[in-house]
Amino acid sequence: MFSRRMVLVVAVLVLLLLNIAALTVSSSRPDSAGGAAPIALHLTAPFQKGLTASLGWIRSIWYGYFNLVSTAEENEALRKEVAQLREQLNGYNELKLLNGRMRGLLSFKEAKARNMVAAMVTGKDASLWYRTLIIDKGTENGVAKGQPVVVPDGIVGQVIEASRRYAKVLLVTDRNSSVDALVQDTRVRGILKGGGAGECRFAYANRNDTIKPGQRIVSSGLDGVFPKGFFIGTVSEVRKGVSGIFQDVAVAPSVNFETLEEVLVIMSPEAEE
Amino acid sequence: MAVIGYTLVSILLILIQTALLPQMSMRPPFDLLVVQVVFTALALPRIQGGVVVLVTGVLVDGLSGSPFGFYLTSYFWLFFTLQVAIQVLHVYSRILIYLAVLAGIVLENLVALLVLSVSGAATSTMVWAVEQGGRQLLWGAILGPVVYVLMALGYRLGGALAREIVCRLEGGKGV
Repeated sequence: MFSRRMVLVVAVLVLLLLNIAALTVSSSRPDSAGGAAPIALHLTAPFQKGLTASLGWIRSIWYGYFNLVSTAEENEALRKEVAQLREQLNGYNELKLLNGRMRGLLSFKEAKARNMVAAMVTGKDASLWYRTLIIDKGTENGVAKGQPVVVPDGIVGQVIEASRRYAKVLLVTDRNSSVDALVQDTRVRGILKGGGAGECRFAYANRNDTIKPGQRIVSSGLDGVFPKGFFIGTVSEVRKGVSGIFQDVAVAPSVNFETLEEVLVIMSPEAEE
Repeated sequence: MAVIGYTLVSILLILIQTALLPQMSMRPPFDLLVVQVVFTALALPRIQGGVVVLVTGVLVDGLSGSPFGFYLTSYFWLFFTLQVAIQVLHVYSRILIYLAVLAGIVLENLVALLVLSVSGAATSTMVWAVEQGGRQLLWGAILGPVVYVLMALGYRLGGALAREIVCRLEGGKGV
């Protein structure tokens, strides 16, 4: 009744529709990889780690040799800076003590300091549209899905997949990422969303709130993922449209994701126990 | 044997894209695995090539932050289209290879746009994605043939090396 070619064309069309449907379902679920992600991590991450470590070693020798010349001058400048910073630190210690006393007076409970695990970045996203990292710590080190990842410069992202020895981290610049955040000095609240192209957007900030370029954005701690007060980035641009109740705020992340080599994973209380 | 060899090349390209280039603070100008899929479609029989493309897609999807199936879809349909094109056109010309690489980049970008639109991306993100696609296509047009020639050279050398090893092992057995 039907020619073979006709059946083939229909089969291909059905396959195409099923594929689009599956992709649509998968797009709405951030953990859509299921068991494939740990397998892929197991298969490729050890090689990524080896390659990254070897290249890091070669680079350290290269830079070590060439930087030796400028190290003496830099050392002198750093000594001066250390002296200045010591003075500053002294002031901060005074403030810290004062803060402690005030907290005691107000019967505040000191927040329990959480443990951190240091991890090496072994690979970056193969995709040109998404922003993730592979790190060399996994469930056997206490790393689990949803844990925040930071560096001294600020927030990096959060763990979205973890195999036994490796984990995948979603960067704050990825468009699937969102962090409950505050403008540090004015305490204006919003949601920091990844823009995909290396920058972030501070969404849902009321257009009547005063936000200016240069202001610091920190985590609010209200999303239950990122601890309060972690630096995320600096406001780079503010645009207020003619209409709408929110303003468009662009944020430049404080972390340079291109040169990231080591990160810290903040353990969740369950993982610590 | 060929499936293992081609899969290893896929893994090598994944490592170049995810570990080697980022170490040099670089991003791949376009997905190098598109060239690998073209190579696989032209060089391997349907079933064997299909297995290589399937494994490659699953590995990249597993490592990437993209929704699962994004790469699998792109690679599978590129592979399938090339298989049909070869059957219909009966040619393996250099122009076909060149166009296939460009078509692969376009297809991957179209899938990306589909995924982004389905997940409710803002207009600015879509514009950015289209710009990215244009840039990738441009780089693909410039570097695609170079990558293809390098890969052809690598495959030829790898094949010769594998044959040499097999010959020696077989010779060793007789002694």
